[in-house]
Amino acid sequence: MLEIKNLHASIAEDDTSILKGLDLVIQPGEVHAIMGPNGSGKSTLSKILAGDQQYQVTDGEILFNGESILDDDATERSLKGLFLAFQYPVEIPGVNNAQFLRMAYNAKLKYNGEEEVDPIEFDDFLNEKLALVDMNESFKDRALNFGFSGGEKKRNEILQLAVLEPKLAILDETDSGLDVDALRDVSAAVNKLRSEGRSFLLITHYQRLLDYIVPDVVHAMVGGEIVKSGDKELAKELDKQGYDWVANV
Amino acid sequence: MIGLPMSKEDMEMDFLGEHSAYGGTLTIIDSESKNPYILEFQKQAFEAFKTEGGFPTSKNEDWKNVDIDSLLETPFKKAVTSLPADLNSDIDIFVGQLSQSARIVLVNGVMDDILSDISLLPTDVRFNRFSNLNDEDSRLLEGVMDSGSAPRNPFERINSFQFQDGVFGVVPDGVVCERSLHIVSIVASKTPVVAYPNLVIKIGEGASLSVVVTHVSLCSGIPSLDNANWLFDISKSGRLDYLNLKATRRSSNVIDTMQVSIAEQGEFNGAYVVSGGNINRNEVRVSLNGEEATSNMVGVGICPDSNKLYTNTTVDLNSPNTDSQQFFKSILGPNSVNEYSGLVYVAPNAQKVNSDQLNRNLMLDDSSRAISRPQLKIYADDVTCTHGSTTGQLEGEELLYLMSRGIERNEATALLISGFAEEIADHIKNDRLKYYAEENIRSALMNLQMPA
Repeated sequence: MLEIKNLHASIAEDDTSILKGLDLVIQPGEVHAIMGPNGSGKSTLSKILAGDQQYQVTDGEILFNGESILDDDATERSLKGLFLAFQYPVEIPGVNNAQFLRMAYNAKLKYNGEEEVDPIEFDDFLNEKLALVDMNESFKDRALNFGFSGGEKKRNEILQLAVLEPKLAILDETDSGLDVDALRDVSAAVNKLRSEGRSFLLITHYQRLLDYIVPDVVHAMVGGEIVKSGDKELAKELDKQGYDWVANV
Repeated sequence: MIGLPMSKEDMEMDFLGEHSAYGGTLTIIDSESKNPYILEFQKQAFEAFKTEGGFPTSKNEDWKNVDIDSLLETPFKKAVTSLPADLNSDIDIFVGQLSQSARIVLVNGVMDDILSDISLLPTDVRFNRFSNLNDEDSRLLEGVMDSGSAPRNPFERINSFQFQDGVFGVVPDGVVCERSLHIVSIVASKTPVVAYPNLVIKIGEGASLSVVVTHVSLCSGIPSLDNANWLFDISKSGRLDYLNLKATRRSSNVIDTMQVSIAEQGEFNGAYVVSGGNINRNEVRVSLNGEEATSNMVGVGICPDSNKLYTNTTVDLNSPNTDSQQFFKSILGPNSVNEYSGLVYVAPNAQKVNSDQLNRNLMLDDSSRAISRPQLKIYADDVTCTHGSTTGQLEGEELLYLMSRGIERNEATALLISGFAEEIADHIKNDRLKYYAEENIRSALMNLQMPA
């Protein structure tokens, strides 16, 4: 599904090096988690995978379903099936949530050579997805993330994930800013969206998210590299011993 | 023969025509049909214009960025109401679009009795020319004009002594108008002209009216200036919903001055959608004169190319527990200018008032310019007042967010720009006016060139 080889990347504006030879392979249906301290490059990795032009890849390769996506822009990557749930979803006043979701959904249908849906058809489809992620239908009429609470924004990201049905979903600190109840609800929604053909990459500081969304593989990331990988027990160990433990391995 | 270039004073005198600018005498059109109160009002406006500086100069803070010289250099003459057949035909076609609406049609500043039709409004509502008022309405008009401030800005003064015949509308106490009233100010000419519409509306106690004002130039590439004065008086618990649409041609100019006086528990909801045109200046002065009076003003200026837009607001919170909201935006294409200058004044006795003032400008080109001056003068100590301003380009993070959902870059850009503009419509309370605003915003956005 996703194969990252020796990835080096820096901030385009000032050449500050962030990723320093990162390797990662995610198979279809697998759930991977990357944990790491602040500044280790976790969120940068997610942005680079999504196609953020603020960063430049200086070496290495990113293969998605066997093909390099380095030359694809963010739109192309999304249409190929890659999804990023943002750590800080952007507020866009004036853009209606439901209209935006239909626009995104139709872009995907068009890319796949399928017929686009009209607002009435889409409304039925959207109501199913809202129920799946336990969201109120009033979200449809609100402006995209505008005035949403932190929890509502994160739920809205998962709603978009449910609508776009990507092959690989990257969840960048989806647990941050959520209270325990919201964390449980959002995790339940994510678990409902797990499938054999869909992979997840969870980026988090804390082990608690992984109590709800149990990963197949856990990676520790320090200084722009993955320094240790293991099963879900690694997360518990990192939570107990801190990141110095793996940084000094 | 090549003439000598005109001096600024000559140009100013030329602009004013028969009034011979400074030191001249006032010739009032149709003076025989005007009542003494109106005649005196016009004389005072002329004296004020002569003695208090005449045309604005670069020393006048509220006008220093307005390109007055380009107006004075244009050989404008005062518009006339007798027009050639083809222009009348153009007017009929335009007004025909409003055949199912209540409408007041002003042609070159004067109400056209045949084209105007308010039969769809409640029968008690009346609109008449100043020259046609009965004694009762004349007294009512005088009361409203006395309660407003004397003409304060130079173009407002010029209108006040130049207008040929004003319009006075009355929505009596308790009358609620379900349908909107369209007021269309048409400037039509084959030579450069300036029109002087002057309109006064009184909203009675507990009465309500929604108004859509549209400025139209039917001058086919010929420069025009619509120099309009509006005075609205909202009585206790009265409500006025107001939408001002200026989708004007490149050669047209509009200088609007509007006064709104709001009594106790009265409500004013004003919205402004401006696009295109050469110079568009919009001055609004709102006085909240009774407890729990509210004013909510929003506006968006869409400047595709080389447009100059100036919004100047003054809100006087004169009573306790009053509320004022202002939210103005602009989208600026190449060589365009937007100036927002807003002053909120809180009187010493006006405790527990609330006021928010926000100006946001989106610049699509390096050659565009935004000037923003939100200001507060507060003389009470128990108030909540905010003011703010942002000016910038499209955010890369927003673009990435939309693109990461499969939306193409150009579509994402268009979506962000339209969202920026349409947020203003979301603040319009009256559904019908909101619909008109959205239509006009969408239409205006189609003229914008998207940034690379």
